Amino acid sequence: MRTEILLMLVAIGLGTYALRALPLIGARRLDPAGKVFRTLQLLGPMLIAALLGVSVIGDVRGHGAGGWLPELLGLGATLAVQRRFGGFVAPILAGVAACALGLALLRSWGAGIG
Amino acid sequence: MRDGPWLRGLRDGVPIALGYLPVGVTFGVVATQQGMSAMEATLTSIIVYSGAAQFMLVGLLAAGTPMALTVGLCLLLNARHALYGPAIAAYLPASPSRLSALAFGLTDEVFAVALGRLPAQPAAQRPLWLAGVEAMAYASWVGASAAGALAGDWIRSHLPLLAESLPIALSALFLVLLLPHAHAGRRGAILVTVGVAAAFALAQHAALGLLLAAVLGALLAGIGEVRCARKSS
Repeated sequence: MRTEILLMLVAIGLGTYALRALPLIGARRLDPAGKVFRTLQLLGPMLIAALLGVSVIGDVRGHGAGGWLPELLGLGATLAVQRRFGGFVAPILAGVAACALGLALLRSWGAGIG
Repeated sequence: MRDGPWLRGLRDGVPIALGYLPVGVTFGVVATQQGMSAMEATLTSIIVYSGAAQFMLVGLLAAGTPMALTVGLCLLLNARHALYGPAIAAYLPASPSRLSALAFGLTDEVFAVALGRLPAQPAAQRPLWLAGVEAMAYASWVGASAAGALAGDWIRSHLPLLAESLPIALSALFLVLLLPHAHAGRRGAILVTVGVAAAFALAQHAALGLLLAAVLGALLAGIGEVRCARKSS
């Protein structure tokens, strides 16, 4: 283990921890009826929406050419299962299965064309 | 018999773990390919525990970037984490010492699950439930990184379809967690936020896009809710 790498890991680890911990501890005194709290209530879901946008692009890049097909199949299956049965884990597993199916289809089309 | 909060948390952390497995394996593979030892790659996941920053770190190290600049850029990338704590703090009745322990595991995905599911947990059980979610996520991330560093090539060659399709679990997770918030006054704001963040990610500016898109979305959602309130009054 190289010392300079270990020092860098500790510095980034401590910094990241501070970014997570200090605002969490400092925010305990927020007034639930106050403007700051209401703004954060709006910001929270939008952070999830932004994470979704970034994550989808990462997935599509990872799938390679035609990567939108397995992504749309996967997220469509997640949405359908969530609407029909509700819950949390089953819709995600359905999304993974549909995405795998989409990838298999892409590969077979690619093999057929090739 | 009903499960306790810790076990429920572990179970609710499974979707995160599903998403972390392939990404963690990929990190292990990339880190060792770029010159880290398996031990260094695994320690990176144990200490830093932030996927995006870890990938950036490996790239900067490979490019020979100076140490101070590498640390600064990784922390800049992680600046978004400062918004997560305040957004969930009101749902988390815990002492500062407990909060400081829980803060270590507050990744993007854990934050999303916490925001969506903390309010549904009994107030007194929330810290333990969140600890369960975080334990599942952390174990899968560290385990997958170690597996990737030690046996990544074998995993990708023997289970290629699974390795390629599992990353969608994280997008599916965000989608499921977003649905309860997508009521009439916010739908437009959510769509704009997803689109803006995706556009920035396409242009290779994901971290900046994430912050800008979320702030823009919150502004739009605020305007939408004021309009809805005026219409109904």
